[in-house]
Amino acid sequence: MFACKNCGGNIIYDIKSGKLVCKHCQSSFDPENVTKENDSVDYDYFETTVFTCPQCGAAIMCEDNEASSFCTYCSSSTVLTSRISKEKKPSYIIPFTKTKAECIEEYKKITKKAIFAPSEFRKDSQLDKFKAIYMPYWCYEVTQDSNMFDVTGTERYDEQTGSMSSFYSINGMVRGKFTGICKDASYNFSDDLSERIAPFHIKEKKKFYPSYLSGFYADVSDVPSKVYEHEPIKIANEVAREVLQGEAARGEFSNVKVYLSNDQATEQFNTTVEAKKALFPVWFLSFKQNKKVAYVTVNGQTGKAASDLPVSIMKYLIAVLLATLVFFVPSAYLFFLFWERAPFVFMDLMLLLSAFVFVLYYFEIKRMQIIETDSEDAGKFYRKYGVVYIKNKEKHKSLKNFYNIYKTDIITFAMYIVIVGIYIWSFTSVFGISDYFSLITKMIFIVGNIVLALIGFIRSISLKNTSNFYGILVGVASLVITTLIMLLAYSYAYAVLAGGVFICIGCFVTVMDLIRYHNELSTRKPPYLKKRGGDVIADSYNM
Amino acid sequence: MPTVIICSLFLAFFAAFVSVYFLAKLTSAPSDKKNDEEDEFGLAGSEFDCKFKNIRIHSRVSDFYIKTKEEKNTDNKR
Repeated sequence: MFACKNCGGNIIYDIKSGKLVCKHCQSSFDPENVTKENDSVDYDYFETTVFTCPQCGAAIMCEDNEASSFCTYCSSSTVLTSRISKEKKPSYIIPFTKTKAECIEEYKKITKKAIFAPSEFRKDSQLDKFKAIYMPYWCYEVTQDSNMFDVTGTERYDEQTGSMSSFYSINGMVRGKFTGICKDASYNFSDDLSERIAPFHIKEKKKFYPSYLSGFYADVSDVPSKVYEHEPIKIANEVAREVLQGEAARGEFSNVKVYLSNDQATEQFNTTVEAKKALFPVWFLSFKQNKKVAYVTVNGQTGKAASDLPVSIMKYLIAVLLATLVFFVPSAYLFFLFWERAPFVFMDLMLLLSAFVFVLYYFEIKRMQIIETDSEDAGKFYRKYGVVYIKNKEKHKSLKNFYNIYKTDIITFAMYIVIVGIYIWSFTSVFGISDYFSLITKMIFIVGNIVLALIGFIRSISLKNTSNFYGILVGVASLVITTLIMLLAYSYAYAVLAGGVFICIGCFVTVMDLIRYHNELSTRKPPYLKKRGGDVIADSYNM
Repeated sequence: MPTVIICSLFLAFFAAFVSVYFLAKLTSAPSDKKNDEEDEFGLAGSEFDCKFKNIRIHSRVSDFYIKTKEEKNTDNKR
């Protein structure tokens, strides 16, 4: 605890004024001028209290001697045990500039549209549990310093008979300095959430003094700096190549293109990297659901918020019920057009739509597989496999913008299904071409659907948590039952109707499977972190 | 009549659970869009200074590639 020089009371960092303020006598102090007795002895380390959560094992660091009664990471209400510890000082800190009230406001803004999130994610009593945490980051400083680089430039002209390529040697001197390319250094703070609340503006960084932590939780880094250091090097090399391209391609050489691999650029520009520890401000909230937690994070400097919210099954079912009522009128109109052949038309439509559901299932499971294997999170990947993961930028982008990238493919595929389906259907159902031919086309569709569903099932069994969910198997079973019905009684309207209903139910259970899987991945197991910190007093103070 | 109602009901149900699924997925990972402006190199928030001096360009070698018939045809079509 940091004591007031005037009255001896506890002084806490006040977000609005950016100073340490005494609760009792209202005196204020610059954080740089407030030190503890032992701080001056060792410049590289500072003394703090570490609390340990008996529920999840997380160690919690604190600048106050009051024990917290709530673990931020596993969301358990428990009394934390404490001990005095010496921690290595980070190089920089970006102090909080957004208060808890502002952070809640930002969170409410982004969750306005999350209509399927469980209600407890909006309750004021829950939002009050937002904790201010200084998250550890690696700040990479990249330097490029070469007095004589030699890279290749290419110029190409297309002519009628062929193409002429001219190669050039480009020499020169480069001086580059990149600071503040930052990556989170905590295993349990997911790269995805960290990237979604980025950026932190490095120009507002301050030299670290332990007094900045007074009133806040803090985590120390547990991810080695080497996990991410290839990324800032790559960024710096790409920028340098772009700048060189602009500088070189002038006058008579305006068509010269500089082609340079990352390794070549590192060698030619003499690119080196140095990592420095830093603490960045993050407002953090965890919701406990079925022994797992969902996290909400808000950038404590800019107020940018991000979260992964589960879907409330109850809200989903209510929305389905309401949407069913809405869609009922146009559906009824459609079937009144084919009054006498309604069950057969219904079966055809079910077969077309179910194909779409099974294709959707396949793509969704594929995406979830990427998330589940942590292959988009370099920190977690390193902890799991002990290998530095070089992120595939394109793959990561496609994961993030899945719907945007695959939207065209999905729509095209759906269009093909609809066009082919309508073509076959118009000959069999509408024009009443022989029942035998109709049966053959239906069987082809059913078998096609079974194949699609089985492909989805095979992909899903590679997922760890699939053993809990057998929705896709219900989908397959419904298709098998429909096959039997069609073989035994394909000309009976009620039998065909029952087949269509079975397919509909099978698809519904398959989609429910996807929702359960989404919920499984949007929440996480309580973490087991090394050290963090906190102070419950600050929460009420920094409102 | 009952078959038409049952068919309509289940088709509406099918359309409902698929469309609501998409809606739920699209709204379940909200994040603030501000500061999400195009950041081609991932340098938002950081500072950098990269300067090149004394750049000299020397011609090294030239190479002439003769196009195939197909390539010429493609060029002509363009």
